[in-house]
Amino acid sequence: MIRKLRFGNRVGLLALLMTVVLLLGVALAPVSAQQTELTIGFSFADVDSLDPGVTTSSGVGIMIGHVFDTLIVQNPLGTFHPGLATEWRVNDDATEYTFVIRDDAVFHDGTPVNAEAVKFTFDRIVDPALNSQMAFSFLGSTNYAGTDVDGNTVTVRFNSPNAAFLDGVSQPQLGIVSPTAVEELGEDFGFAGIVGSGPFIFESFTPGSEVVLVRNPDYNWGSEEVFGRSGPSDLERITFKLIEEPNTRLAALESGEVDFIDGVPGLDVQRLDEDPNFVIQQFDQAGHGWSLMFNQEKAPSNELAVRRAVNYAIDKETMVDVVWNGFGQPACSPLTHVMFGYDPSTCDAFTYDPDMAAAILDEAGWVLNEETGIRERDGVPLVLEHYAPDRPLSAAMAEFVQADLAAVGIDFQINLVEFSAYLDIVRAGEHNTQNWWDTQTDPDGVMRTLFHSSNADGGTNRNRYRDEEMDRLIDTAAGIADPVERAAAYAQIQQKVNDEALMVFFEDPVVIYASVPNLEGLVVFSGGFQPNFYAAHFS
Amino acid sequence: MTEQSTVRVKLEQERGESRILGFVRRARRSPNVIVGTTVLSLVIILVVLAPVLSPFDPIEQFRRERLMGPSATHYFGTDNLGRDIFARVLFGGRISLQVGIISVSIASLGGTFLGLISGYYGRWLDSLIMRLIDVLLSFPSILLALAIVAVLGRDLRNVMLAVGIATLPIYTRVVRASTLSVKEIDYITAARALGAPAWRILFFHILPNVLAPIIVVSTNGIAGAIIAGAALSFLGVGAQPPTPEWGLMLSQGQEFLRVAWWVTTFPGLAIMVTVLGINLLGDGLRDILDPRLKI
Repeated sequence: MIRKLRFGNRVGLLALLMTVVLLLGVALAPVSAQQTELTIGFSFADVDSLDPGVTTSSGVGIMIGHVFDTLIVQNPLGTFHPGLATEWRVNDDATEYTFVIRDDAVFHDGTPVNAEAVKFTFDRIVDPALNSQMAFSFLGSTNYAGTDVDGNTVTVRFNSPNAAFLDGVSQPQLGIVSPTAVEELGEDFGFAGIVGSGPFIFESFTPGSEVVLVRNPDYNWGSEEVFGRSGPSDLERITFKLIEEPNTRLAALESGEVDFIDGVPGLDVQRLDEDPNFVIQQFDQAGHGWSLMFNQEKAPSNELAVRRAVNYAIDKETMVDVVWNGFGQPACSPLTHVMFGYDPSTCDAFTYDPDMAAAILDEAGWVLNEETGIRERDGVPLVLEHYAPDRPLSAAMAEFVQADLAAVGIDFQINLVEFSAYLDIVRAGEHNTQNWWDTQTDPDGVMRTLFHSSNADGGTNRNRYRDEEMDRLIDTAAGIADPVERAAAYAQIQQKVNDEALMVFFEDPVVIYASVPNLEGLVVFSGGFQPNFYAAHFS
Repeated sequence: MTEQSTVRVKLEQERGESRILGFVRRARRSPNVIVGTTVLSLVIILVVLAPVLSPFDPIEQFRRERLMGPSATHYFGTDNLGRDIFARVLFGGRISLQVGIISVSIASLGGTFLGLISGYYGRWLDSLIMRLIDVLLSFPSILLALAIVAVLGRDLRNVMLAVGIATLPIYTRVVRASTLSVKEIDYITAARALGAPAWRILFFHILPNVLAPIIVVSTNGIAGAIIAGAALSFLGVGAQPPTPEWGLMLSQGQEFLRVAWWVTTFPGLAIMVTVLGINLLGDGLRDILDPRLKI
C-alpha cells in the first residue's frame, strides 16, 4: 500500500516535472526564436524585379538594400559615410567622382568586390538592353559619361555637373552587383537570384508571397558610423511577407505572425499607440508625395486650361482628411515640405476654388452641357481617362477626384486595372492621368524622374513632358554646389511646374511603422522611408 | 374517328389546364416557393423603387459625414468617402439582378440551343459539342469567368458575358439529356413522318417538353450568377468604382472592417438575402416541376 502510494507519488512528481519542463519550453521557445528571426509585413507586394538596376519600385529598394552594398552610405541626417568606398573626391565642377574601393569585401558568391565590379554595375545600367529607369535616373541618366578604373579606384564621369550623385550613389538601386552572378543568371538575375555583398544573402523569392534573406556570416564592412555596429547582423533571417492589404498586414502584426509592418492604416494608429504591445513610429516622408500626372501628348490633358482647372477644382485639404484619414498635409510642390529646395511659396499657386476652375474652362470654350453635366467643346465632351493599379488607395484617390471634377463639369473616367496591364497602358501613353508617388532624398532625382525629357519615352516621366528649357533648368540645378544657389534653382523649377500646371500635388505623406516593442536598432534612411534592419535585434 | 379525335383534343386541353392548376396548387403548398417568392418580390420592389426610396444619390459624397454608423439620416451608415450605404445597396441591387438575369439569359439561350441540336442530331455534331463542353467544364466556372474577364477587360458587360459563358455547359448538358429521351417518343416520330422540318420539331415539339429543367436550372443559376458577378467585382475585375456594386462595396469596405462594420455588413447581407430568396424559389420549383432533377 505504502509502496504503491510512493510509486504513485513518483509518477506524480515525474508528471509534474515534465509539465514544468514542457511549459518552460513553450514559454521560452518563441522568445529564443524571435531573437534571431525577423518577419516583416511589407506593403510593397508588387515586385517587378529584385535587380537593383531594373526595379522601378522604391519598395523593392528597401528589401534589396540589405543584399547590396553601396559605395557610400547616407545617414538619416543626410551626411555621407564610407560604404564599399573608403574615401571619395569630387572635382570642382562636380563632373568627376573618384572612389577608393576597399579591398577586403567579397560578394556572396565569393567574387571579390573591386573597381571592375563597380564599373560593370554602372555600365550595365546605361546599357539600353537593361531598360533601366530608376537606377538610370540616380546615375544621372544621359549625363553619365562612363567609369574609369585605375587599380582600386574608380572615377565616374559626367558630361555636365552632377551635384546629386553622392545622394544617387548611396541609393540601393546603385548597389554594386556581382558581375559573375549577373553573367551566370542572365535573365533570371532579379528573380531566381541576386548576388551582392551586403549583410544579408538572398535565399528565396516567392512572387506575391515573400522574400527571404539570411545572414551573411562573413560580413565585416558595415558602416559603424551609421549603424552603430559592424560585423555580421544579429538577425539570422529576415522574411519580408508581401501583404498588400493594410488590414491583413495589421492583423498579421497583432496576431504575432510578423514583428514589424509598414504602411499602418491611419485609422488604427491611435489604437496601436495606446496598446503597450506595439510601438508606432512616424516620419514626414522625403521626396515626392501623392500626385496626379497629366499626359501632355493626349487631349485634353495637353491643354493648359484643363490642367489649371483641375488644380483649382480639387479640395486637397478635405482630401487629406478623407483619403489619408487626416495623416499628412496638402501638397503644393513636386518636393515634399521636408525636402532640400522645397519652396513654400508654391502653396500660393493654386487654392481650392471651383468657381475659378469653371471660369477657366468657360474661357477656354468648354461649355457646360446642362443635360449631361459635362462640359463640351465642338461636340467633344471633356473626359479625362484615368488609369491606376487596382489598390484601395488608388480607388479612394480616384473616387475623390472624380467627385470634385464632376462638380466643375469634367468627366474623370476611372480605370482600375491589374498592375502589369496598368504599366503597359501608362508606359504606352494611353492615359490622360495617372498617379505618382516617389521617395528620394535629393531634389534632382525627383525633378529628373518627373519632368526631364530623357525619361519621357515610356519612362518615369509619364507626364510625357518635353521642354528644352526645363531640361536645361534641371541639368543646371544638378551641377550647382552652393546650397543657397541650388535651392534658388529648384525654386525656379517649381515655379515653372506650377505655371504650366504640369501636375496636381495631392498630399505630403507621413510614413507610419508599427512593431513589437522589443525590436531595437532600426535605422531609417531616405527621409523616413527606407527602414534598414541590419543593426536590428530583439531585446 | 373525327369525334374520337375531338374528344382526345378536349381531354388533352383539360389535362393541360389541370396541369397549370396543379402547378399553382402545389406551389401554394410549398413553403420554399412561398418564402422564396416573398423575399424575391420584396428585393425586386426595393430595387425597382430605389430612386424613390433612397434619400441620397449613391455616388454623392458627404465628406464630413464619412464612416458614420447607421442613423436616422443614413439608415445603413456611410462609407469612407461619406456615401450613403443604404442608397448604394439599393442601387447595387439593380446591378446585381441585372448581372444575374442577363448572364443566365446568355447561358440558358446558348446552352439550350447547343443542347437541343447536340441531342437531336447526335453523331459527330454531338461529339463535337459535348467535347467542347467538357473542355469548358474542366475549368472551375469562377476561374473560367476570371480568365475571360481578364482577356476582355474590366467591365460589367464583360462580367455578364463571362459568367454566361462559364455556366453555359450546365444548360447544354441538361437540355441534351432531356432531348435524348424526348426525341424517342412516338409523337416526334410521327411529326417526322409527316415531314415536319427539323427546326419545327426542335423548337415546337421538343423544346416545350424540356422547358421544366431549364426553368429550374435557370432560377438557381441566377443566384449563382449574382454571386459570381459580385465575386469578380470583389476580386477587382468587375465593376469600376464608384459603381455601387455589392461585391465591389465588400472589397472596398475591407479596409474599414475594424472601425466601420456597416460598410461591408449591409452589402453582404443584401447578397445573402437575395441569393437565399432565389435559391428557395429554385428549390421549390424543382420539387414541383422535376423532382428527379438534382443539381
